[in-house]
Amino acid sequence: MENRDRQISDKVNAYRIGDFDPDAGWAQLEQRLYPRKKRILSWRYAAAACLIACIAGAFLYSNHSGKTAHRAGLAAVRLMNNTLPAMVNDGSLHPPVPPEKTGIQQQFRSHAPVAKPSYTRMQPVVEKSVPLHTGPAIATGTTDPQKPEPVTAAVTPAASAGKPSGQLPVLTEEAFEAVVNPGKPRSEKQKRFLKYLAARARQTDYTGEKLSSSSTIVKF
Amino acid sequence: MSLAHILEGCRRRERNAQRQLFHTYASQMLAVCIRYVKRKEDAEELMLQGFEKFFTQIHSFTFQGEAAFAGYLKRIMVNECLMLLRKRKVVFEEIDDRSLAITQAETPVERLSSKEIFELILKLPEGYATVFNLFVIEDLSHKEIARLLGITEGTSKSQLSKARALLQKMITVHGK
Repeated sequence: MENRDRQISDKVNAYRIGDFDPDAGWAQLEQRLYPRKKRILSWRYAAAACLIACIAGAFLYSNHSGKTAHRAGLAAVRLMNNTLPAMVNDGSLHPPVPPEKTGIQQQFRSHAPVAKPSYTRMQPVVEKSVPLHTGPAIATGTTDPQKPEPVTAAVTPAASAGKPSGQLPVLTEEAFEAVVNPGKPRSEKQKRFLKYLAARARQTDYTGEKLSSSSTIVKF
Repeated sequence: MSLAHILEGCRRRERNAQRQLFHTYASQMLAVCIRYVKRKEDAEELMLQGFEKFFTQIHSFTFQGEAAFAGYLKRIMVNECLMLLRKRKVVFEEIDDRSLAITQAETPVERLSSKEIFELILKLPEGYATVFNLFVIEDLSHKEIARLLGITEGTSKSQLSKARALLQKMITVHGK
């Protein structure tokens, strides 16, 4: 190597770039070496992110819970319609025989004898003090509720629709919808169901007696 | 902390040691990269690639002193630069150099600062500058340069001669 080349080489090798920020360079290199490592945000950003996440979570949870409650309610209606009557027939559950019957009670009574009822569906029972149905009968065509038909000769809507006798109108999903969607127009059946719910809320049966806490009989 | 200790830390992937090594050599290695690729943005990218390569392949490196380490790191950077130049397909052009004949007595290299010489080298055409850097600064032989750049030894010698002459002319003009 010539002497001049050596001089140039020494000078060039001694040269350092002045306007270079090694911290910025290291930050870039660190990202390459440890790509999964994220730089820690300031606590303000972290707090804001947490707050937003909490609000979003609460919103989603509330929506989710509402849906779940709705589904659970529908499932409960199905259970009451399908399982409980079967239990009644099995003898597991014995609905009480009402001492007095209003017109609507008689309409929804089964053909079974009073002493030993054999219900295949839940029996609608209304409160004594609140006359539920004063107009024309829904399904039986009875026009005068003050003239009760004999218990043994009661005709149910289900029976009139060609179903086996002794079956009564059941708590339907539509009735349940009347509760969860109160703005909707309600049918007579839905209105009866709401009355039933009111009675249940007061923990009384149609005679005004307090129901025991273990009572599982559904009456409307 | 000595360089040997820093390198030991780098071997254990200690971030502090890596950071310290980077801070020590980044500026020097950036200058090496700029000499080859000229644009500072490209040079920074290549330097980071070079350091990344060194840190990921540090287990194949054996420490034999500070000078040897600096040479090793510099070689990594030069290789990164040459890879980019190959992608760019640098043309080792022949320029008319009859006007470049200047006698050695007229060269006031010692009067110029490091920065001035550095900037004059950057003004050389890419092909000239590459061969000049490899031969004069990195101290490689024409054979090695020919192998690295995929050219003949004759082309390497010719490019070096013309680079020297052109640089000498620029130094003379700059010194006046």
